[in-house]
Amino acid sequence: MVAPVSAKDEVYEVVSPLGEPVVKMMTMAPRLDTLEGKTIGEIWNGGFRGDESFPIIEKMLRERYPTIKLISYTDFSLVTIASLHPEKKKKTLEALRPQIQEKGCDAVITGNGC
Amino acid sequence: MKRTGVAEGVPHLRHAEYPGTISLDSVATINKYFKEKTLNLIIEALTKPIEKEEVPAGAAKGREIVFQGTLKEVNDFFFSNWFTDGLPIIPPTRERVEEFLKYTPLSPDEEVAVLHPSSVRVTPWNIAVNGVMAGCRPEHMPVLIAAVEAIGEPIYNLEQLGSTGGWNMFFVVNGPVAKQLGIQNGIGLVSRGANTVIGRAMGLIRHNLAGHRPGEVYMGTFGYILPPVFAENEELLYEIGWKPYHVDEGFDIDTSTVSVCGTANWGYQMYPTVSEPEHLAQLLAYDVARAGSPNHSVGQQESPRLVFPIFITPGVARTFAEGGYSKQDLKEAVWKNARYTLAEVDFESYYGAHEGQRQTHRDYLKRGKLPERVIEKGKLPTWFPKVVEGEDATIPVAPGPKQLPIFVCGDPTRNKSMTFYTMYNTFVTKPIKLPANWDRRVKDLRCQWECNI
Repeated sequence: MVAPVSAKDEVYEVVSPLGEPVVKMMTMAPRLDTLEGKTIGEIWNGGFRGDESFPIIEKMLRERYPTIKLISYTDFSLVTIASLHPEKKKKTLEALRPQIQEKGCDAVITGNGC
Repeated sequence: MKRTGVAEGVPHLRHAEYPGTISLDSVATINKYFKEKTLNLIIEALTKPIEKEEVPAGAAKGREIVFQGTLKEVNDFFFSNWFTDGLPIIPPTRERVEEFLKYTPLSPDEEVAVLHPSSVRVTPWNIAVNGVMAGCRPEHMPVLIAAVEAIGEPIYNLEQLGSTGGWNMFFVVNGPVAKQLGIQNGIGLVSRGANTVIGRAMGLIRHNLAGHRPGEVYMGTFGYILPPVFAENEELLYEIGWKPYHVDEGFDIDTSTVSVCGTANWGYQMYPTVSEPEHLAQLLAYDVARAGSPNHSVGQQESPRLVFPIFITPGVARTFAEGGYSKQDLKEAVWKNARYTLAEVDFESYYGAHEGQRQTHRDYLKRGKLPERVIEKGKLPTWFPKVVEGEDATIPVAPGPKQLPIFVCGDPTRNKSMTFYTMYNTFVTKPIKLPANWDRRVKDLRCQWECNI
């Protein structure tokens, strides 16, 4: 970086431009010991060719873990939340929870963005 | 992505990266990359134990002195710690920050807003630090605070501005404060007077407080310009019988406000050369359609966040007013004419698909994302050649005239218009809270910021 011409010998004591985050960290679920025999859900946000990449993921996971149970993204609601009103965004995400529980998912693969 | 997770309270967001450009890659290439890399990362994300805690980014420093040094050393420190926009800064000393705090009725540690995606609780102190760095004057504090209140409203959708389209914030200052602070509304307005430093300060606030850092959650493919700050030519507006934006929104004439919206572009500037309001409105509609994207409009027909702010010069506004048009008449005329053909929708939605999903308007209809009622036949925009019946169906660029706000500013001697465009933001307007004896304290300030051009 090219800094401006220095004021002769003057020393500045400066404060930080950052602020204080208020979010509380959640406790994350423990990771799975193996994917063999587990139920994995797929939740798609409607973007970046998930309708093509999820089937590829499914095929490769089944080849590696013959007893894995995969629940297709087509069995879940499409979750496109990027431009939703904050309240609608919250409700959309809350509606996912019972879907995940009802299907007995041990974990889900979700997102698909850039 | 990990930083976004931390900001949302997820300390160890597990994710898997795809090494190519998935929107463009062939299916064979996608298979190859998944086999070689991404599948292993997905498995690791699901099975690798979580071992240690991570410290959230942007931990509080409060009023602690974080560095001592000369002007050059301070700038090097801020640059190397990624605290700047790349331009030199004014060192934020406690004394300078405290001078700014004298220009707000709020207490230094009061919460002004929680900004996202960082989830940082922003105070007047934090705002003042970034205002000092940008080169603002202490008197700009009330404007900066109102601007932060505006971008902090959840309906504004600040976090989404980090999307790869490079969506930028812009601000409009209305009311007596604009003139008192020398916020320009004439030739070269965003690059003159107080406009530039206030815009820069808001860019630093987005960077340091909202956490929009390049490559993390500030993903603009080609980056961002400094946030532009506008004022309206309110004297001209009253003269022609129109009202400034904030009065249209229900605020009192004597109230000063800051309004924020977003834009993906710094628009092309049209040269209107006709004086019939009907044709002039068609020209603005042409520009509106060009500024946006059929690909975005097709899926956003019920979204209040699909907005096309239009800037017209005083001469253009006067031409409309003398032709009998109110501002509302103009918005309706532009909306009526600003349409995309379904051929345009299908071409861009397939070959240049938003988020890489190749679609046509039929896919949007099928998914319930495009209401059938907005498709109309026989409404081809004036600039389109006539086509056979059945190929002349169009959709409007936006849900209604409200999404086409009009601002009057710029060189009063020129015939110009310019259109901004966003699909992620609504306008949010906040009144400016002034300290005691404001008028007296800023009495002679305007002349210090005005250029004699």
